[in-house]
Amino acid sequence: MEVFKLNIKISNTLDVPIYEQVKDEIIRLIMSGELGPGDALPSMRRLAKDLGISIITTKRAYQDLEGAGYVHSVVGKGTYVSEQNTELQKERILNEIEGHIEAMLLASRQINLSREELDEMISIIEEDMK
Amino acid sequence: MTAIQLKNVSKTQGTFKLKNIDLSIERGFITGLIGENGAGKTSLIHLILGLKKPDAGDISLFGDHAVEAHREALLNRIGFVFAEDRFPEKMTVPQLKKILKRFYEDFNAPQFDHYIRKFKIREKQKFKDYSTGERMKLSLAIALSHNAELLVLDEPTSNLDPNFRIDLLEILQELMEDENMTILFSTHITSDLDSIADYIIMIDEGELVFHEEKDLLLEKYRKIKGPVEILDAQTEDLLTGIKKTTVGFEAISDEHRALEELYGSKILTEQLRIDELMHHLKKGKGV
Repeated sequence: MEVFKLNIKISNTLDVPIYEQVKDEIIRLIMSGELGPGDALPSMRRLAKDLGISIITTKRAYQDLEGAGYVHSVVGKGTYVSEQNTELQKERILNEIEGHIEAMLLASRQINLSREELDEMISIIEEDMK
Repeated sequence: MTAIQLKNVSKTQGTFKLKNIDLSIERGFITGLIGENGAGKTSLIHLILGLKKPDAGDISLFGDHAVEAHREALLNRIGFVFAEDRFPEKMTVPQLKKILKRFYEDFNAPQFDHYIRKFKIREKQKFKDYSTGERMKLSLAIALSHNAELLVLDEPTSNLDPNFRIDLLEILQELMEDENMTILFSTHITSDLDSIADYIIMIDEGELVFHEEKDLLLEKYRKIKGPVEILDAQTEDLLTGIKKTTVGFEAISDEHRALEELYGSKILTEQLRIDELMHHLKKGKGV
């Protein structure tokens, strides 16, 4: 049997649904290059077992990943990482971040929040998310 | 593909009644059966296994509607564990093994030996000297040793120590790597199901309360915490089971998105556990 090494961490206490956590973790692995095009993902059932979560949960994560073009499944074989246009994907995420920063700065202006205070808030939230 | 199907099944036993149960349990998944003691979980399982005959309605296993007539053949394909399994008092494991070989067409002796060792079941002791937990482990070893494609477990974890419970849940998930495997698992220790169950069936007072994907249930219902000041008539309409204390209120809602839009960071939404959901829905009217 093939040995898969997927560095996935999920938390049962976060208010983020488990399938979304699984999906986000796999996207992170693809983005960081730990998973490359053509790499096989573990079967849904195997991943469910290894993460101690339900089969439906992993199924949903895989379906979403496939829908977004990150992976594709080959009937009777399994699920594979698709050829990514990594630059394009990164661009897309950068755009998304820009949007969030704009919204954040606009909101800060309303209460004259200084740049230092904003930086501090970011650090605190970052710390919380660890 | 359906493993177990019940259509409009009713059964009266003394003062207890299972009422018009419609269920379709899909193959390839883990389904948890929850409900209070006396809700009808065991009766339902007995009906499914053909150990009792329904007063009305139709039951089929793997598409076979003649469950009672074909019980022996069907039981070959099913591994079952009951909370109160009885074994002949004077018997030991080697003697039982001989009987199992005759009873199950597909009895896998090496597999059975493997689980006997893995579960640390004492082979030379007579069954009368077994603890409840050890009997449960023996039942499990049998259920896992004849290539069953359906496992029906009635309160398997209630007499097990916590360590073994965790082992059992792992074993169940290993079995599910085979996509033809189906597990129906009744329990009142709902934390067993929080992680691994695909579907949850809840029955209460002999009636089906819901049969849903676990993920969908836990997405729909959330626990809401917030300050008592925001509770007005309209907000209370969106909440059920409101508990007020000096530190704020706690409630359950299936409208958590609306509440988040209304109150933003004033409220906190959290995932429910299945036992909290069960407690909540028992009082309400179901999903």
